[in-house]
Order: sequence, then structure tokens, then C-alpha cells
Amino acid sequence: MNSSPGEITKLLLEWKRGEPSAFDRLMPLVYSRLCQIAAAYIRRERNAGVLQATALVHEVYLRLVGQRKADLTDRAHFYTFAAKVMRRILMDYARSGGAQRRGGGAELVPLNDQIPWIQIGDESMMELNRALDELEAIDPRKVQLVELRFILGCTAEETGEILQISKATVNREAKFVKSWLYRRITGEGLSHSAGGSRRTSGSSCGRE
Amino acid sequence: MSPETTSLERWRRLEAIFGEVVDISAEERTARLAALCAGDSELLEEARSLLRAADDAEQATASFVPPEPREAEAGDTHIGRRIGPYELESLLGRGGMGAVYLARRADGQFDQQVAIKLIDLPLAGSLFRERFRQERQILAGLSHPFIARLLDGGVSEDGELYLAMEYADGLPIQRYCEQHALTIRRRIELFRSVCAAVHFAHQNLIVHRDLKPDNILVLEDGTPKLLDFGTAKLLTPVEGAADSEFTRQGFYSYTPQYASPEQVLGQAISTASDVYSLGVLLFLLVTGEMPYELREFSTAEMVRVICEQQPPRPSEKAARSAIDSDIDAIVLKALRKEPAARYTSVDQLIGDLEAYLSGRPVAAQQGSFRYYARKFARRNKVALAASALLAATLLAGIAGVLWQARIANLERRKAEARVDDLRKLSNSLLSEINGAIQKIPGSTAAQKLLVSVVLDHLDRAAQDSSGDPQLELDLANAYNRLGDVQGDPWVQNLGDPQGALRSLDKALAIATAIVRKQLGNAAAQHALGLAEEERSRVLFGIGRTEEAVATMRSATAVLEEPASRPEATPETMMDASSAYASLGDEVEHRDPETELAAYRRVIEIGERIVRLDPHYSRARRAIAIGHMKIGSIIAETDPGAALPDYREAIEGMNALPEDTRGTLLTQRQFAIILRKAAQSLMQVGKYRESLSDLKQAETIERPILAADPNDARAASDLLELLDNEAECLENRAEGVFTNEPANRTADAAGALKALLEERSIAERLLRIEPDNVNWRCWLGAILIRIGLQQSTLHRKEGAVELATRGVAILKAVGRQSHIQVYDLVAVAEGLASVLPTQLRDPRFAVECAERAVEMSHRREPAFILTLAESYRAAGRPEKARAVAKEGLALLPAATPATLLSSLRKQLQAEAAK
Repeated sequence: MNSSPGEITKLLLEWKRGEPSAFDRLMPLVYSRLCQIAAAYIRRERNAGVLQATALVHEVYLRLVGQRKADLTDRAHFYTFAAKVMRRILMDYARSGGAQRRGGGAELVPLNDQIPWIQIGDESMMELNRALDELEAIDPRKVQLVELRFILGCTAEETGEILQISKATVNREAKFVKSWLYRRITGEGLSHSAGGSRRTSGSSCGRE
Repeated sequence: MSPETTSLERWRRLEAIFGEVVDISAEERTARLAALCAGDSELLEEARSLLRAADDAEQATASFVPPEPREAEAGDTHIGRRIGPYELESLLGRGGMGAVYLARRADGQFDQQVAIKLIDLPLAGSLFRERFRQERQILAGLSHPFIARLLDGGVSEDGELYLAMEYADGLPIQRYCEQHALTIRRRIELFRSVCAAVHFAHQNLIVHRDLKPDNILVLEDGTPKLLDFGTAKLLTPVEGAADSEFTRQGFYSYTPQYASPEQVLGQAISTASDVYSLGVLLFLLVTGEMPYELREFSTAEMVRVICEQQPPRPSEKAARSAIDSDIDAIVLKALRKEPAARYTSVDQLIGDLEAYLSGRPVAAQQGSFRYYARKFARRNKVALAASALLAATLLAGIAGVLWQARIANLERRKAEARVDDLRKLSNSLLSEINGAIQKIPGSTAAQKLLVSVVLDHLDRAAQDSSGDPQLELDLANAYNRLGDVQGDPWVQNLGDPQGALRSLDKALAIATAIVRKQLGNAAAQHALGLAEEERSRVLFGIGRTEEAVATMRSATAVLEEPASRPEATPETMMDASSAYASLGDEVEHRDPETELAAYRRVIEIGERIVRLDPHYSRARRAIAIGHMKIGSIIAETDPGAALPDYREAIEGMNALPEDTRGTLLTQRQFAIILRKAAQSLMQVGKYRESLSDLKQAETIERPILAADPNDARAASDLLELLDNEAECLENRAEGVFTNEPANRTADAAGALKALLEERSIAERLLRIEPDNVNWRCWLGAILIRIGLQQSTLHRKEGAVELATRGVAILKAVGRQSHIQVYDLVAVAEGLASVLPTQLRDPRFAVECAERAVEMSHRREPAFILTLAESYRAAGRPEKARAVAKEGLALLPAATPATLLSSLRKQLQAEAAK
């Protein structure tokens, strides 16, 4: 595949409009770099203060489009896209045995300090993925919010800018969806659940 | 509640309720909740459960203590570990991809210290691992005294990837220079050695991508050792389809301070990126400082500084010692923002370093008169070998004119006089004198001197020329010639394509303005066409092919118009014809239709010229070459049908007057035409005629080689001629598809004689270039064929030894990872046909032939024939037949002429066997 900057912008737009093949064509362009970012997550280098994931994604984007000043809408599309790819990479890692493969001695690393009860490479990550798959059907913006804020590691401001909502809205929605995820992943408050069907419904979906 | 079990509306209500109560006190909450849920007990319970989860999540997050970053890890658990056959002894350093350890072979096989790079890539998938393995093999083949060898690599028991490298116990180059207080000169000599290693890797198609002092260690004895060649690429995790050109070139770990603009912007990385990093390194070595300061590692800062900020001259930054302006020029040329403006290869950089070290002018200097004069004076003598006298005379002449020009300026003569000056300079200096100098090897310095002086004059004259069309036209033509000298890739030029484009743009602008003002001004139109043509040639030379072709098309149209007027002179027509020929060359192999049409125009216009002036030899030569080009296009699909055009070309060349035919260029062209014709004749089984053309070509090539026995191009030209000759005789001796009577013994003896001479040429070429795979392969194949002919002639003595040596050479060549497709075919042919039969290795032959066929995308019938033969030798006749049919399907539909092609016949024979 030979992709010019214009091609990438076009593909992003197609993807945004719901063209599924666009995702598959875009993915190779960012996969390797995002893998490196993800690997740094897993190795916990994020705290070494070298670079923020969002700054890295921005860098990837600038390189792909080859422009010094990128169009804001295009950039937002790219971030939501990158966050999705990142989710997929981390999921693949968890599914392939993730943390276990790296030897029992390895400490589990939280996906994000905001949600330390979800850890990279273990079952909680798989559960997160299933939950987001279900949520996608009813509230896709929340899924984007989780992907951007918690998986890619954007700040509330950045997330708001990308989703074109205020920082306050990001924080409010984040709190709601975080609570919902906590209950879902830790199983807290389950006995009170009205639906009570989480286990059965959850196990039947979430597989890509 | 899971969202799928509820409706969107319910989910939204829940969210709204949650939002309203989550931040209020517990007492208030109960009442608010009851009110908001308004009797919906299910919703109420759901909201309560979610609020509890919110509190718990809050607590869990608050009590969370972030783990210490990994870098702070106490001790290193890897020391003493065994990785493959190595035991880790101590930590040498940490990098982006993992850590490097000093290790020792622990299996007792050798006592060898190595550096082990342990790669921590938790996400590396199986495809990445496979590519890692392949690339590692390529890198392991990179053997140079200044490059730390990659010894081994693989996957440890714990699943980590590792690389074992030659351990270099040295200091980073910058620290070495400081510690040994090397002089600038010694630093440049050391740097030149580094460049030599980089150039070697580039010739093996490996780009470093991360050259910096930490990767260039210098041993105590002063030997540099480059580390991590190609590992930046090796360590790019890429999965399957992700292995596109884009990703491969886009992302690597690199060190920002040494990264080129294209690396920062994620554009294509090439050898020019290494040239840039070398420029940064040289800057550091001679000044002790970096050319840029990066205050922060943000993308914006990197883009701003690396892609936009002009680097200072090293001499401005050097604290200690005076830096020569040559070094300034060399460093700044390596640090140019646009890759094409840098040295086009490390070799050129080395050339300039050596020029500097020996006091010759460096190419990086755009050059002023003062600069060259100083250089000449400093060197004391102009070392021009054979043509020294002529060159000296010319230089004296130029100096005289320049002197006059300087006096003229001093006296500030009037504009009219300057027009005269200008004419003198541009017409006399550039065309006549430069034309003469161009033919003298090693005369670039003199040409540069000319160019810089003329450019000065032109730019000044352009400012003064207000509207006089004749003066402006002269200006345009002068800029045109200047562009030619600066960067026409087809003649010896000054290697300054950007400068050439600038000059040509000036010519274009002036000519276009005149054409607009005075429609029908034939001279201006002519100048415009020439400028476009020249511009196209320069663009083509720097790889901007599309633009070049478009510009050349426009040039043909512009030049054609005045050439088709009744009053057109042969010169005007010749310029149009040349533009068409250039267009044909630019689309060669890519657009046969355009190429054919262009050369047909060349011939038509040429014939019109010859009718006007039968002695116009340039036109005659253009006609001949036009026929040859057309013949080549036709021969691609139909060698028999190409013969009439080749015959026309040969007759045309023979009819040239003696003085034209005698030049080296024409001689070589004639030899090429003869050989092409001979190859087509051989294809259709006309061996006698083929041999006669080859013999005539030989009478041209032999004296060229005799004049300079070290001329590798002349040697390889003769080698190919002899090879065609041997093949003709071999085929006729075997009676391959011909009804020509054969004297088997005489033909075999003739073939043997040619092969023996080939052998001595190939051996001589290998002495000049011992690492050249192509010559090595050629030698192996020749040895086998000598053995074959000896057995035909029943001269068994030594035949087996020769064949055995040939087989060994070919097998070694076939195992190379970087190998050209023709060499692979030769390996397969040799291994499938060698006598005695027990020396054959048909399985390896099949493997090589398969590789060659795949490399050519299964589109080359000749390679497919070799594959079919290999299969047959391997005892797999059904596979051989199938492959031969595949090859036949690629041939164009048979016409009476093509029926004769021996390739077709051989494929048909294989398909039927």
C-alpha cells in the first residue's frame, strides 16, 4: 500500500463515515509506532518522563500527513482512530497471555492511573474490551471517551478537544462510565443489578 | 444493568440521574434519587448500585500507589543469565529497545567476548520474529574491518529476542578525539574512515539510520568500529500487511540531535539520511559542539529546529581552532535540508574530504574566482596528466579573458560594452572553451571557475537589461548553457543540479517573457524549447522522472514548431530531433509506445535534415541510433522483426564520415548496435551473421581496452561480446534450432577460445573488485562452460577440476542473500548443466531458478525456461512441462517471424519433453 498524506486524510474520513475497510487500510500505517508506545506502557516507561503517549501520537500523525500544521478535524479523527488501534494492540497482548508470558515475577501494570483496577495484559483488560463492545451498540461516544482518556492516555482537555465537548462534560461522563466499568469489572454491586444477566450476555460477545 | 439489556432512553436517564446526584451529600441523595426515579424501583436500584460503585472506584483509585518506574529497578537480574550459547557478564548500557550486555561464550567452543543486545519488545508477533530472522541474516553478511559484526541472534529460552555483536572495547569517537587531543586533520582522517565503512554498507543496500558518537567507537589503536548497522530497521516491529513501504520508511527509533529533516517528518529514508547524520558528526568533531540545540524533545521543536533552522558554519562555532572554509562547505553540504542537495553518496563526501586533505578544490564550494585561484596557487602545480599542456593553454586563455573582464568592470564601461562582454563570455567561453575543457579528464575545477564567473556576470547583466530583446535572448541562452555545465546528467557536469535548475528557470522566465511579447519570435521560442529540454534532463538526472517527461514533451512541441517552418535550418531541426530522442530515452522501458513514436520522429526529422544537407553527420548518427532504439523495443517481443531496423542502424553508422565515426562515443554506440543485432540474430538461429557482427564489434572494443587495461567498463564490454560469441558457437556446435551447417569440432574449439579469454578478463576484473558478485558468478559459469567444451573436444585433462571449481563458486554465489536476478539464473543454468553429471545440483538449481522467476514476478520467459530446464535436470519432467507452458503463455502471439525465436522453440521443446 502506498499512502500519500492526502490518502490518509481521505481514509480517516471514510473510516469516520463508517467504511469498515478504511480501518484495515489505515491500521498498518500506525500499528508499528503504536506498538512501540504500547510496549513502553507495558514496560512502565511512561513514568520515566520521556514522552507522553499523546505527544507521540501527535508525532505519528504529523509524520503521516507530512504537514507542520494539521487540520484540527482531521487530527481529531486520527486520535480517535489511534486510540482504537491502541485498544486492539493491548487486547491482543492480553489475549496472547500477556503478563503471564513475561514471567511470574513481573508486576501487573495499571492501564491508567485513573482506573488502576484495570491492568494491562490480564483478564480485567479482556473484560474491559467486552464491556466496550457492548457499550458501542448504545453509546459509541462513551467508548471513544474511554479509549481516548483511559487507553490512549489523553488529558481531559485533550479528550474534550477531540470529541468537541467541554472538559467538564468529559469529567462528568468519565465518572459515570468509570463507575459502570468498575461495577462490571470488579463485580461490585452485581447482586443489585436489575438486569442480572451480565455473565451470560458478557460471555457471548466481546470476541473479535 | 448492561446497556444491551436496556434501551438507549433508559441508559440516558440513568446517566442524567447519576450526574445530578453523584456530587451531593448522602442525606440529600436519597430524597433526590427517589424524586428523580419517580417510582421506577428498577431504575432506582440501578442508580444506587452505580453510585456505590462510583464511591468504591473513587476509593480504589485514591489508595492506588503508582509503582516505581522500571528504570529504578535495583540490581540487574540478567547478569549471569545464559542467552543462547552466551553468558551475560555485565551491563554495558541501556537503549530504547532494551539493554546491552557484555557476554562470553559459555559453551566452551571459543573464548570470545561479545556484546549482547537483549530486546524487550513484549508485543513482537510471530511475523516480526520471522522478519527479524531474515534481516539478521542479511546483516550478518556485512563484513568490514570498521563495522562491528553481527555474529548471532535469535530467541532466548525465555522468549526474548537477542543480537550478539562483535564487542568493541573503545571510546565513542568524540571522546576518543578529545582524550587523544587529535588535531583537526587527524579528526578528519578518522572521520573519513568512518565514511568508508558507511559507504561500504550503502553499497550493500544497508542504511544505518542512527549514526551518532555512541554508535561509533574507536579502539585504542585508532580503528573505528561502527555499531548497530541496520538494527534500527531490524527492530521496527511490523506485522504482516503493515510491512508497507510507508511504515518501513516511516518509523524507527532515532536520536533527534542526529536525525535528518526527512527522518523527523517521517519521509522516505535513504542513504542521504546517513549523509546528513555524518554531517552532524563532522560538525561535532571539528567544533566540539552540536550544530543545533534542541531545547525540548517535542515534535514541534524538532520540526522547527531540524527542518527549518539553518545550521551555522562550523567556523563560527569552533572555540579552539580556525576551521577552513572548505570544511564549512563540506559540513553545510552534508547538512542540507533537502536530501537531493546533499552529497548524493558518501563516496562524494569522501572525495571532498580527500580533496581537502590533499589541498585540492572541494566540490562543496560553490566557488568564487578567489577560491580557485587560491587553491591553484596553494597547490603550486596543476597536476593534469596527459592533457596538461592543452589544459594549461586553455586556462591561460580563460585567465586572459577574465582579466579583461575585470578591467572592464573596474572601468565601469557602458551598457553596450557590457553586452559585448556578455556575448564574449557566454558564447566564447561557455561554448567553445568549455566544450574543449569538458573533454579533458579532471577539468571540473576549470569548468567551475568558468561557471561562477559567468554566473556573476549574467546576474549583474540581468539586472541591467531593461527590455532589449536581443540582450535578453542572449541572457536566456547563456543561462541555458550554464545550466548544461552545472548539471546535465548526460555529460560530464559539475554535479550541481539545483544550481542548474535555478539557472534554467531564469532562462525559462526570460524566454517566456519574450515569446509573450513578440509572438512568432522564432529565436525566443527556440531558446524556450532548449531551456525546457535542459531542465527536463536535469530533472531526470535527479530522479524526478514524471516532471522530466512532462517537461520534455512540452520541449518537443515548442521546438517542433520552428523546425517545421519552410525556412528552418538544419540546426533548428536538429534541436527538435534531439528533444524527441531525449523524450524517448526518458520513457525507455516504461512506455514503449511513446518511445517508439519519439524515435520515429527522430528518424523523420533526421531524414529531412539529410535531404537539406547530406553531410550533416549528427543527423545521420541520430537516424542510426533511432533505428537501433526502435529495434530494441521490437526485439523485446520479436527478435526476428527487429532485424531490419538494426540493419538500417548498422548501415547508417558505417556511412558516417571518418571524423565522426572516430570519436569514442560514436565507437561505443556502434559496438552496442552491433551487439544488439548479433543477439537478435542468435535468437533466430542466424549464427553466421551474428558472429560477423560480433567480430566487427570486437575490432572496436579491443583498442579501447588496450588504451586503458584498467577500464572496467571496457573490460566488461569485451567480456559480454566474447560471451555472445561463445554462446553462438556453443549453440551451433550443439545444433540448437538452426539449419546452418556446423563443424562441431571447429565451433567447440572457437567457443573454448572465447571462454578462455573471458576467464582471464573475469579474473582480472575480480582482482580489481574482489567483492563483485557479478564477476564472481560470471567466472563460475565460464569455468563450467570451459569444462563442457573440453569434454566435447575430448580434452578431459583438468576438465573435472575446472567444473568442480565453477560449481563451488556458483553455489557460494547462489547462497548470497543480495544477488541480482541474472546471477541467480546463471547459477541455476550452471548447476543444472555441468558435466560430469555427478557435479550437478539440480535441487539447488531449481531453488535459484525459482527465486529468479519470483524476483521477476514470473514475467520473464527466458528465466522460466531456465526453471523448466532445472526441473527436468532434477527429474521432475511434469513440473518442467508445466513451467514451460507458463513461459510460452507469456510470449506474444506467434507471427511468421517470431516462430523462429529460439526462446520459443526451447520452451516448446521443454513443454513437449
